[in-house]
Amino acid sequence: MDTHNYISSGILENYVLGLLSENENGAVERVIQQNKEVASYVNSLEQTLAAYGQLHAVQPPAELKSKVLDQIRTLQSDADNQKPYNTPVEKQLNNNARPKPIKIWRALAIAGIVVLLVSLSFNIYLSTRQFKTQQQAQDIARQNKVLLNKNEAVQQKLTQAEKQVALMYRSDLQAVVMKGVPQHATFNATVFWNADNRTVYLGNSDLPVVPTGKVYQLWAIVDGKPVSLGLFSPEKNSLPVQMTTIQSGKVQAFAITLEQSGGSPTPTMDQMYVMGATS
Amino acid sequence: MINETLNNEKDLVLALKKGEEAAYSYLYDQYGAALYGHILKMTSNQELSKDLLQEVFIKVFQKINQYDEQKGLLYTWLIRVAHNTTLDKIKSSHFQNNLQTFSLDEKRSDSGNQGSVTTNIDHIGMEKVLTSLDNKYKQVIDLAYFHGLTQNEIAEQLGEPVGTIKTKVRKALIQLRKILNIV
Repeated sequence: MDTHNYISSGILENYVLGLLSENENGAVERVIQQNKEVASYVNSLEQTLAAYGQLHAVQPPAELKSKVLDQIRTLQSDADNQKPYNTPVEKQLNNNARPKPIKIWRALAIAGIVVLLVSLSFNIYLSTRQFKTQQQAQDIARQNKVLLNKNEAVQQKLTQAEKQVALMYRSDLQAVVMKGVPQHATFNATVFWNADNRTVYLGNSDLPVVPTGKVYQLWAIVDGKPVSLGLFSPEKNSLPVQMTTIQSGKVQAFAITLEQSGGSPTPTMDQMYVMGATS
Repeated sequence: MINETLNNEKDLVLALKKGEEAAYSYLYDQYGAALYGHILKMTSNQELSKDLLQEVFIKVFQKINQYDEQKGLLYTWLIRVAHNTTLDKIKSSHFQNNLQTFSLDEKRSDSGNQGSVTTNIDHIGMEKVLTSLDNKYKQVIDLAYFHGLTQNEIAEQLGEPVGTIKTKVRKALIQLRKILNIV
């Protein structure tokens, strides 16, 4: 649309003088809302007519003002009396059948939005709380697991200790403490063995964790010769554990060496950790 | 200046919508004479115009919520309310019956002013405008503005084609705008 042509077409002058049809009025009002130049021109025309109208102004008789204001006061107090149910705006809307549904729908829409907002915030509150509860539950489960593991470890140690104590109190068993050789002086291990039926238990040891691919091997020195009594590694075997029973011969000592995993037919002497004689 | 007027008008409209009595008092002081003058020009009847002015204020109170600042000046809206209220009255059968005792010509309308107080400034201003404004243009404006005639009715009254009236309306307002020095 050419604004200049539109303005000079004369339609706007006819508009402000109320000379257009309803349809034409609607069209002009749409243009006014979209086009600032047209709107400002229409405004100047309205001001022109207003000024022209003011020139014809006639002061109404003096008593008229109080009459008018009395009426306004009456109308206003009527409106105020109905206020709990109807504000002046609503009263006017109620007089007019059409806007009423709009008002109801608006009220419903507002109510709906309020309900939605309340529900949303409640949902957020609940889900936050649920999330927190879940986290707390997870924390507790984790702590529980840790405690359980600790408890198991303690239980195992207790069981081992009980077994060791039981071994110590057995009158048929003889304890042999193996002491650390000079290179491993801090370590100790104990075997319990029965001289009659020649069963052997490795009672306890504080030997270090074995390197990968290695294992400890327990030996008995029988008639001056080493006899393998089996393999163990501290992290796999909970002591005490029964070892291989010794066949015939005089048991002189016990010793532990570090060997390749799978064990060795003869002890590697420079890898001996602890050793103890039977008498 | 214009912005200040607009802001004041916004405040006034807000107060009117709230139903504040002081706002209606201010509205009466500010626009009462213009509305009364307009009604008087349409009816040429002082007693009727007094009743109509009261009716107009009641309608303003009842309809002020329908007024949309986006669509025009408050004054324009007020004049439209006054205009339509008066037109309804004029067209009602009761008024038509009474018409026999009054004539609706311009002289009557002017004589209606005699009993009322109009400021000198307005008279001077009007005289200046009326002498500067071409009579053919004044005629068209008055028929539309004060008497509420349609394009066809004006065309009929002046014995001119509708197209000519449309053009005349434009030229009339442009001249009036110039005389009144409105930007």
